[in-house]
Amino acid sequence: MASHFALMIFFALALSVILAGLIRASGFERIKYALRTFAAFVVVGIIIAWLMYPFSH
Amino acid sequence: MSDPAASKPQSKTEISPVLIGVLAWLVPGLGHLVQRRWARGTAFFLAIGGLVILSYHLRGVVFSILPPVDPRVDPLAFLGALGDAGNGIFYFLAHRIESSGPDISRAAGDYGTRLLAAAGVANFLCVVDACEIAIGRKA
Repeated sequence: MASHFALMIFFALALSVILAGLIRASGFERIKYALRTFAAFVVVGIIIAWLMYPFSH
Repeated sequence: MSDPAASKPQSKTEISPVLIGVLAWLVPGLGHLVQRRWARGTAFFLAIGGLVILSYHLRGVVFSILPPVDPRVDPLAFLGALGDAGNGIFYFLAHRIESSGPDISRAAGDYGTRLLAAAGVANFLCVVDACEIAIGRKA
């Protein structure tokens, strides 16, 4: 089974691709939007994970 | 002052928007492929299909739409069923793709359940997008 982090990465990637296709009109804009959205998903996910860490044990 | 060219409607597709919507729901990305939006259709198919296959591999719960769950008895399962059904043909092939059934004793099963619902909701958004292209509201 993949790690929690790997699953989060895959989910962020898939959702970024879908949102970029829906929201942006041109190819280059879509790529930029997908990369920004993917980075935001991952960074926010890591931040939330560390915020939850004190409550995990 | 607004640009008149920007507000000009796009050309409409010859195929009925209703049929486009049904095709887009049935196979993720197909509504876009039929309208020659090759990149978008392929990306949607791979992204949504990937989420669905992964969710089945993780053995998430597939909520039943046939027979439908009574929303008064279990509203979350009812909403989950609506989300899962958004995956079209992937939803109806669930038991062929993963015959072992759900396993929520592990965290992976929970992830699978959420991924499947998210994929279904994302496909509903793609259906709306395909219909908007068909009626000329989007390029």
